[in-house]
Amino acid sequence: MSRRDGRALRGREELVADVVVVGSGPAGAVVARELATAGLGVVVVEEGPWIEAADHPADALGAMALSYRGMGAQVVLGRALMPLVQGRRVGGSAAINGAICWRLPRDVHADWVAQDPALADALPWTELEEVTDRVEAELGVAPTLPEIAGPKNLLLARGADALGLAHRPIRRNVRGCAGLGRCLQGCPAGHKQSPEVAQLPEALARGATLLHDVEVVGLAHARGRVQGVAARAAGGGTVVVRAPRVVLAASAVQTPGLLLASGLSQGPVGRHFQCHPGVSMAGRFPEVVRAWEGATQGHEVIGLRREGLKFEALGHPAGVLASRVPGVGRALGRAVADLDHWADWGVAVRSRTEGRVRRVLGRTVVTWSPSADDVRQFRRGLQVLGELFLAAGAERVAPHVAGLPATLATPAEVAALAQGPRRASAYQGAITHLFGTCRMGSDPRRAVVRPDFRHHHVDGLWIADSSVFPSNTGVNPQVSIMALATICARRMLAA
Amino acid sequence: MSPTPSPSVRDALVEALVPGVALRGPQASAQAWRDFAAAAPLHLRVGWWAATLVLGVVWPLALSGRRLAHLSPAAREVVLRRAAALPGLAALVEVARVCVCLVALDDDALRAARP
Repeated sequence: MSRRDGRALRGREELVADVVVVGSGPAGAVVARELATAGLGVVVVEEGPWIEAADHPADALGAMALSYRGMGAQVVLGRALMPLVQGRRVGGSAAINGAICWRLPRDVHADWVAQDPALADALPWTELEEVTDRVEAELGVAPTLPEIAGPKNLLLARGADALGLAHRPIRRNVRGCAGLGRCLQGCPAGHKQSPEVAQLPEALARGATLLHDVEVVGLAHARGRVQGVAARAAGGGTVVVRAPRVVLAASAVQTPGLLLASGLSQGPVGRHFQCHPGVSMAGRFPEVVRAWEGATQGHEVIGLRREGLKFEALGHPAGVLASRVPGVGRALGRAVADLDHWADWGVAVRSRTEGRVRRVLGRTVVTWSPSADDVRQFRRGLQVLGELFLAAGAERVAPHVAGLPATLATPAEVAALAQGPRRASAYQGAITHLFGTCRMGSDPRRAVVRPDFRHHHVDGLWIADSSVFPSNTGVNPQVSIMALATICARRMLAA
Repeated sequence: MSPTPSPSVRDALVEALVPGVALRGPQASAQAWRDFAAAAPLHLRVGWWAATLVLGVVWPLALSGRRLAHLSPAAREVVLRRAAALPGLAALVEVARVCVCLVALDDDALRAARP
């Protein structure tokens, strides 16, 4: 059992293992724990740093520089340059998410089976439910308690009540949450049950080795069989891990990027990229909100989920919230001085639009553009957000749509959002939750991995992250990712 | 190697965008901008550099014949408001707003209790 820091590796290291797991997020951590528990020698290789809970910065700049890929500012290329938000650290994006937990919706599983009937037996609903129960129990998933929700969440509930929209406290993977409001920076108390808290310590205790600050740059393979990975340590050294089995769990961007960088371009690798784009709106309340306090994301409006819209309270660090209030000069100064009265709520869109992950000049890039349907959903989502704010008592809202007024204050002004600009670049969106770039399926022309998570063309190579999902889920995916990763580990042990 | 705005142009833009509110002190500010330069991806650094160059130098020169740093606070505000109203410059104003809020504002001061 060991944890090794790649910043201290300067020479050449060679390790031998039964299995190499690339990535330590929700998929990699679960697979590593399951396989280590079964007695296999596991090495987990993680590009980002290990961060102790107490070292999580409170400020936006510090947290984003430390824990986010590209400081949270990497973008997809397309008609609108939208930020694509990913973690880059031990625990992956789950270490800096809002702790929102959703089970895989039954209708999403039904869609997958409709696309490929082989998944009915290979990924049966009953097994998914069973492992999801286990994951949720392990993570302590429970609804946000009202005493730690804080005003921003309770106000969203008030607005939804007034509009008659179904809503509920968000079910979160926390134990002993004190409502510190710092999920997005990394919980400073270790209350969030993200992978570096929930699964990796157990994996290490059962003999796994974690190499952090070590970036896998290529898969070693020959004659249709994987042989291990080659990696580069942050300290300048090189690391080779030889293993007969490799599990890719590096995300729906980095996993296909690594396959392509390794010359493994069989099947639709990198294609069918899907995501959940979202837009947000800030609103000013007469009462003090202090949106950086209370559960980071503690309430959601689910009444329009079937339309592909899910609304959430957001709990940004103060510096990020400041960028969401309107104006320049004295107007911005006044709003910033008044920041404790502002809240920011967002809407996540279940987009059907597909993009692609490519390798360009040695770098992994994502191309994706919102479709006309997506833009229509942005408009509709912003309109509903405005209605929620006004119904909750907000005096005015800031929609951040190019060509529209900086603030809106009346129901008529908010209703006009539905007729907002049709060009995607007019909206300030962001992308989270990435899927589909190594999709699972029985047809090797249409899928990268088999229904049992094995690569169609390379023996010993498995993929466990959300790149195998045949579509997006429309809901926050960390629990689904952990459930499928558990099943992936089972299939590996049974193989 | 990536473009870096001069501190005087940068600080003038910061003061113009968020005049006197919850800004980091000089040393902390300099360190924060160094942290930003070290961590931000190239496209964001280029965007910030372009925003400072256009909004701090080119646009105010075109409007008033003087750089932003040499204008009165009221005139700076007019310059920025006019830029924000132009589709071609509004995106740069937004880049500047985001960078300034993230880097130049002091989170502790923002979170501090107010009466």
